Amino acid sequence: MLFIQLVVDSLVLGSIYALMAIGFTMIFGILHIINLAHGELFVLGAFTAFFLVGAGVNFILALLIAMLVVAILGLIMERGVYRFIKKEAVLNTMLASIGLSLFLQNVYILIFGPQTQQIYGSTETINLLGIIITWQRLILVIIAVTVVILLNLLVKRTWFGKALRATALDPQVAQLMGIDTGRIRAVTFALGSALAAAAGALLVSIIPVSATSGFIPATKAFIITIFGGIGSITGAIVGALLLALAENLAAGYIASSYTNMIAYAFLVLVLLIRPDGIFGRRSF
Amino acid sequence: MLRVFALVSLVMLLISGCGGQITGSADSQGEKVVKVGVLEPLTGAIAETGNWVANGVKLAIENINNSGGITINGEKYKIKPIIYDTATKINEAMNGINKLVSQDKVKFVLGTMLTDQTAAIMQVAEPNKVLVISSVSAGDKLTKQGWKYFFRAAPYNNMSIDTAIDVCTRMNKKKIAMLVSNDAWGKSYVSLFPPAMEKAGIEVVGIEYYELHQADYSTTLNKIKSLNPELVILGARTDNAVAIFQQAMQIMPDIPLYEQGGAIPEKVLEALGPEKANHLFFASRNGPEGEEVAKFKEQYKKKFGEEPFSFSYSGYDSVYILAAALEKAGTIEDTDKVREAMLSLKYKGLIGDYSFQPNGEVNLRGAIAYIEDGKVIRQWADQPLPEWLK
Repeated sequence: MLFIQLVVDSLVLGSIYALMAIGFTMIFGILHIINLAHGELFVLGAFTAFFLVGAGVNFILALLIAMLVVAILGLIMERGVYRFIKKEAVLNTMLASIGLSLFLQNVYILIFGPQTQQIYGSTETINLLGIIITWQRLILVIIAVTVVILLNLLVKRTWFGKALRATALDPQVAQLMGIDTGRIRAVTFALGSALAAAAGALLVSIIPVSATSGFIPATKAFIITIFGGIGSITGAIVGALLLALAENLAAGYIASSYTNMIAYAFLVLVLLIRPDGIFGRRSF
Repeated sequence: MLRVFALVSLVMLLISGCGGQITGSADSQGEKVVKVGVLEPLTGAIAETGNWVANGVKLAIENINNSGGITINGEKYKIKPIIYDTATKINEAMNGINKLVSQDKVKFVLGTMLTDQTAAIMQVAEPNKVLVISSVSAGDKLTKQGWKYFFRAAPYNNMSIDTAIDVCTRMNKKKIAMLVSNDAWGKSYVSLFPPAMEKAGIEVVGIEYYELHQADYSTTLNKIKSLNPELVILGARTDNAVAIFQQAMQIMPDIPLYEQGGAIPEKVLEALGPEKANHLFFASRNGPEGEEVAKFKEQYKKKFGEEPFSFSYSGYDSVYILAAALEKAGTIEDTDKVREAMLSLKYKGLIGDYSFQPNGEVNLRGAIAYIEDGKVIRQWADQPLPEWLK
């Protein structure tokens, strides 16, 4: 009984991790940027949604606006900071992102204060054969799945998606084919940021988020990306679900303090056994 | 262009990366001042409660300074606060106390609200004879270390045991579980409650810990639910409690949570709404609120723009207790004399009537709170419990 409940809860958590990880892996895979400030994008998405819903805006609309706002922040980050960093030395991007992360965290504390916020929605629950899930969480999974499906359509069926995959495969040849790789990169970063914002907006509807909440989701996104293979969206989804499952089972059968340890254990395991990640295509 | 941008970013990084030192009002008119260090978590997992305490401290210092300051041997001294943020991290607390002791050379520190951090800073304060008053830390170990320079001016964990057993017995709850924070405060409950409970014939079916930064409690709560307790003894500050109560209402609405004094009932009421929160009961840090508290609330609301709670009363009280001890001792340098003064001090504060035992422990009257018809009602623990509590 507990086991099934934990699995169901993992679906919820996993969907949010998936959104975070897909955004991160896209940015890492296509732009070669390790954006540890990904968590701060997530937090801004959460706060934007929180304030919009507080002002009476419908949740879905708030989610979309949050995604837009953070996409713009992402664009600014990419054009304003990362563009100037030589991305062949991936470590540089990581260092820059740590700086950005610290900076943004403290800006958030200044603007939003250090306390946590949460959208207090309806707490209606569904009871299916003893498994309890709130409507809120169920809707969350549905929205997350929808976003992923839409993203998939974008990547597989549109011109932009083709250009994206071309840039990911080989940027120089893509340029020769007439693709404006600079623009593709900027839009990809914005897209990845929007996904992080979606994760944040969805999460703040079920649990509290504060200015400094970004670090842990960002780290997990990083771990899932390595686990699933850099640049692999499928890998990100599978990795996210597996990580959420492992964390919940550990928390359920051992103790909550083990959740972060499990995440890092995952990372170590993957690096030992399959350094390219499960679905990895490129190695660094 | 790039260089300018890089330079600006670097400077901003340095500024934001520096530990959070927020000094109080600078005093540069040759007035006599007594420096008082203040260490509280102003950011991080327990920032909300930490700021409540710090705000109470700031208001008290402002009031004292505005009425001339404290009088030591006929001279007037203003209080100069030196406030450092512990960011809910022990290493930051250590940075803070080290700065206060070696750099700022303070002899008196107010804080911290977290038992872990208070225990940590005493490692530096005690050998340096720096007097520390914590108005919130409730873990029992703080008065069992033989420290001379530590005073706990706060309701503490041992105080709520008897009431908890009383409540469980009246409600005929024979199987309970405990959900506490994975820190010294939570662990203090785990060392105190089970033996007392078992003696009273109440079985403790499980003990679960949560992390301070944890926001999703569904797994922990589901695990507790699977143990089938009849009641859950909860130790959680408002920062965690609100989410725990909410998620518990969803996952195990039939199992009551009895919070032991870390959470503010008004905030739980706000989050759950009067219907769901009705007849929830808590151990309370303060008893029924009288005129003094009402006056304080007015002042606090004017200064900070929000309603204050017991944690702010505690912060406020701690300053006045220190001030009273300083005046009684007639010195701001000799902490041994101030310590003596503390031991013979009786102070009537917003939380209650304080006096201290030789080990630094406080004598305070315990209280409980419950929510009825959308209002939070407080009473002393030794008064008869409400009728519906069964």
